[in-house]
Formats: sequence, C-alpha cells, structure tokens
Amino acid sequence: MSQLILPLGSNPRHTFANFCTDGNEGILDALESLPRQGGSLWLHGPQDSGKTHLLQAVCHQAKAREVSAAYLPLKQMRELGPEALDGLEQCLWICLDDVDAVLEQGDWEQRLFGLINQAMDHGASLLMAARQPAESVSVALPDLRSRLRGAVSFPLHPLDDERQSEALRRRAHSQGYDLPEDAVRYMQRHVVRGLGQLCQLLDQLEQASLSQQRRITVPFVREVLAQPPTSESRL
Amino acid sequence: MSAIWQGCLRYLEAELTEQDINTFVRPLHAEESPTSLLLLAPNMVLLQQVRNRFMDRIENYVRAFAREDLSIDLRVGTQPLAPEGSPSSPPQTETRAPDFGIDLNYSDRLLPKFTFDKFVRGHSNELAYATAELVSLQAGNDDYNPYLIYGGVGLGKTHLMQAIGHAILQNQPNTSVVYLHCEQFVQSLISALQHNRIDSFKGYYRSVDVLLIDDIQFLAGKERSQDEFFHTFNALTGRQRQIVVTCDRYPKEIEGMEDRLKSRLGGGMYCAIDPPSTETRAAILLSKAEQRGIDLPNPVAWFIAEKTVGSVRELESALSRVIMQANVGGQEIDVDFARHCLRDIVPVRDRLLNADQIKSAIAAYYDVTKEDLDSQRRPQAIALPRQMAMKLLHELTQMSLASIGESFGGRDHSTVLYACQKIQKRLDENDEQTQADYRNLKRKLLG
Repeated sequence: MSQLILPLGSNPRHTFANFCTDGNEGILDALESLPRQGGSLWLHGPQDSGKTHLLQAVCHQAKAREVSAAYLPLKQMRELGPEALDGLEQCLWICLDDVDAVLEQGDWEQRLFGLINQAMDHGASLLMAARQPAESVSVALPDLRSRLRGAVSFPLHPLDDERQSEALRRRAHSQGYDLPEDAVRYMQRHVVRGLGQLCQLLDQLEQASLSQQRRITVPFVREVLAQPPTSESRL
Repeated sequence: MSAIWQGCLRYLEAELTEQDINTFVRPLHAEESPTSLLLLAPNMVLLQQVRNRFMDRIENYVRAFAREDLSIDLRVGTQPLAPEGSPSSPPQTETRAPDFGIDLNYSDRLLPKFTFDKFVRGHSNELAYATAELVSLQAGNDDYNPYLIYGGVGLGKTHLMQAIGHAILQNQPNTSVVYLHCEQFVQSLISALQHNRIDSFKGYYRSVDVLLIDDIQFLAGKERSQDEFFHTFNALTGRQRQIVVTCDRYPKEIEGMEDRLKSRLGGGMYCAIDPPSTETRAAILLSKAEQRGIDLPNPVAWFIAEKTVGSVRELESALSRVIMQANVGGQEIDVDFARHCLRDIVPVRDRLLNADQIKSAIAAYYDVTKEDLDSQRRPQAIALPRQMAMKLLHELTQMSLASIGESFGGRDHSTVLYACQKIQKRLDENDEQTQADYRNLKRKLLG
C-alpha cells in the first residue's frame, strides 16, 4: 500500500472574503441571503468580471454551512451531455456557469427548463452566470426564456488595475502570504491584462515559491515568466 | 454527514482542483453503515466522472485512514432535500419512488404562495380567476371539466392552477390532488416503461381526484405520452374527477398534438390570461411587496410597472432586485433608488416600449415602409418583415396579441399568433437567413 500524506487541507481560491467588487457590493449580500430564500439569481458580465469566482465561493460557503451544492461549468460540460443536469435539484445550491453556452440547443434547454422547475419545487436556489443579461440571451424555449428573465439579475464589471491589484493581494493573503505591491505591478505590466490570467500566474508563482522556498518578489516573478510554459500553464 | 466521508472530502480538497471538488465531489451524498459507505451521485454523467477520475483516491483514503474492510458503493440516487440545519432523511436509491420511478407526493409541491388570496386580479385575468374559483367549489362538474387556462409565459397560469388545488384541499382535505409539470408526466411515463411498471403508472394517474398538469404543450410530438394522457383524461372525466391544464396557447393551435386530444382539452371550460395592464402590474408589485413585509411607495410601483417589459415573473424579478439592494444599504426605496437599481434594464427597455420604433427599425432593415407593414398586401417581400415585426412586438413589448393585430391595419389576434409561430418555426428549423435577421434586429433594438 502506498503511503499517503495526511492532508491538512488547502485554502480555497475563491471565497467571498477575497472577492473584490467594482461598484456592486450588493451582490455579496444577495448571495448570502440566497439560501434562506430559495429562488434564482442571474449574474452577468464579461470575462474576468468574477462570475466564476462567486459561483465557486457559493460552493465554498455551502461546505461551511453543511448544505449540498454543485457547480457546473456548462461550457466545459457540453460534451458530457444535458443529462449532467439530472437530479441536481437535490442540491440546495445549484451553480450553473456559462449558461449561454447551452442555450438554443434543444436537449439542453429542455433539461435546464426541467431543472429550474424541479429546483423551484424543492426550494433549492439556482445561481446562474452568463456574459449577457438574461434579457439579451437568445433562448428558443419561451418558457425557459421567461424563467431565466425571472431571475434576479446582477451585473458584474471587470476590475480596473487598482482593484485587480487588491484582488490579487487578497487572494495571496487568503493563502497565507503577502504579495508585494511592486510584484503585482510587474505582473500587470508583463502579462496580458485580465484577472483570470493574473490569478493563473499567481498560482504558478505560488507553486514555484513553495518548491524553491523563495518569496515572491519582482526578480522572482521575472524568472518564472522567463521559463518556457509547461503543459499545465495556460498563460 | 458520514464522518468517514467528511475526512475523505478534506483529503480530496487538498488533492483536487477547486472546480473538480465543486463539480463532481460536492454533489455526492454519502451514507455510512457499519459495513459500507454508500455514495449517491445525482446522475449517471457525474457518477461516471467520479468513478473514472476520483474513485481510486476515494478508495485509497478509506483504506488508509478509515476502515480497510469498508465496501464503497457508488450509485445514482437522491436524498430528500432537507432544510438547512435539519437532520437529513434516508436516501432513495436508484428509483425516486417505490412504484414506477417518480415521486408520488406531488400535492406536496403546491407552492404555499400560489393561493387565490395572493393572486392579483385585473381585466386581463378576471374571467380565468372567477372560473378557477368556481372549479374549486364544483370540482368534477362537467361544465368546467377540463378547465384549460391558456396564455403567454409568466402571466400567472400556474398560480391560478395551484390555487385551485389549495382551495380544494382546504375544503376537502382528503382529496388526492396531484400537481405536476407536463415534463414530469412524460418523464414518469418513460420511467414506468423502463421499469416495466406501466400498470402502476396507469393505476396511479387514473385514481386521483384532481389532476393539475402545467404546460400541456410539452406533449406535442410525444405520441405515447399523448396516448396515455388521453386515456387518463377519459378515465378521470368519466368518473367526474377534475382535470385542470395550462397551455401557452389554445390547444387547437399546437402542432404535433393529436386531434382527439385537442378536442378533449377544448371540450370543457377554457379561459385566456392576457398580459396585465400597467395598473394591474403596479397592483401586482404592491401585493408582492406587502407579502414580503415591504411598504412599497405607489410611485415606485408605477415606475417599475411602466419601465419593465415582459412577464409577471420578470416584474417580480425587478422588484426583488430593488428590495434586495435596499436591504443591503438600509436605504429607503424611492423612484430614484429604483431607477438606480434597475439602471441596466430600464434604459434598454425604455426604448422598446414604443411599437412605432420597432416597426421603423424593421422597415429600415428590410427596406420596406411602415405603411407596407400595416397594409393588406401579401407579397413575400412584405409578409416576412410583417411577421418578424409581429414576433418582435410580441416578445419585446407588453402588447397583447389583439392589440398587436390592431396596430397592423386591424388584423386579428390569430394572425399575429400565426406570424409568431411561423417565424419561430423558421428559427427552430435553423433557417439561416431568418436566424440572422432575428439576431440582427434584436441587437439593433436592444442595443
């Protein structure tokens, strides 16, 4: 039998505490009140506006409250088929990311419609995210369109450089270390802008920092960026 | 939760990505017995992912840190949803009910909020409401059996239907009232066929006192389901048991529905629900706010009623958003605050309230005149833009079918309905030109 390392647990990357909003602070409160009310929310905003972060944070909170939850990135799950939605109404919190990726596809729309009805029957909360507002997405099934538009919608906006920097430092702090301001600025200058990519770089830096037992500084960031990308790196 | 599973979850959280945990592991429900650990996945897709990708790690953990002799069983199954803080109930595995694969306690699914006293009446739904009250008092009366409520989405059909169920149960608590969405009827039939329990299926549905089926249009194109529903219908009405159905249109207009079923559905009492007037929409908002203990000022109710387009469901969504944001900031709700909360919806919709603007946009797009659209001329070059205009007016404004027809040179509502169906059919059939026109026009109109 192979020896296993006793897991001490890792800190989640996506929590409400390390989420930075840009002028829509109400969203966090809305998400926290979601479980008590049931119902559905629709988060919309462009890439890097924090939709995935919030959905994952909801799942993290589910763990803390010992309630069942599921997060389904529908764009990635398209190839698995719409049956992936079956039975999810048994979860108290159902988080569906990239909902627009499966709209106007007959089977997916039917199953999504069924899931929304079942979730409503079971008093489960449905949290959906897409790039467009519910009013603007194209939906073939009128009943589904109506239900999506019936969700309480919240717009999210990409963060400016200053907020991005705050978000990265919060993320580092939640992992138990401090990220120097000049290192953040260097990261922002040297990677394609966008919080998603910056977070991926931060994860990469964190791994390298742990394995090399070095602090994250500007020279360290420069070294890591100079390394050829690995198959796991998506930068 | 099983103590072993809790430990295993902590282990997996350290081993897997956050996404894998939240997508595949967190939805699992675990039940521990002295000899086994039962893991229930919501469906076969998630089960296969867990089996192929994570099962070895789960087994490793259990063998190393829990009990070597514990058997681990992974199945598709469900657990009854328990409210936060309450103890969980035993799981139901493989099938969701002992009979033919569905939950039989559908009367439990009548939502408490859908009662007569919470239904806001207006000119658009008066007759449907009055008839629903009569049905609840005289269930099974041939004059109202079946009772068919039809109209667009999100206008309160389900509310009225469930209100009938509540009222009947209140007057006669021992009555078996079954409410379900049409999709569930179809799914339960499929499940019954799979489990070779079609007799149980028939026996169950044909023995209820009141059958409430939502969105009957979902039977279209499903021959076997229509057949079963037809026989259920005959069995129930033959014994003076009440049937109430809702539909998004008058059943005769449903393509793919057998004539004999259309005839049965239209053979009792039927009422339409039209989109509510602004006054009714404001009244709905005030009522909904009151139900939530919120004192909504009249001007705010009127502002939201006037500025939001679409179904009652969308209206409620706008109200929820305003209330939610007011709660967060501890702010008083006034018109300016509501405008601020709905700023991403109102400007877009403001521009859509005017039918004239939609017609102008369509006329310009197709290079015809607005007069052409309103005229009685029927060449294809005009008929298609006219049909598209009717479809978009129906989707993007609060106008009823009748008033849309009226605005196109005095046509009647069935012409508008036909036009909407015609365009939808082209969209469904992936007619590329129609899809492009539809997308472009919506983009132009919605900004």
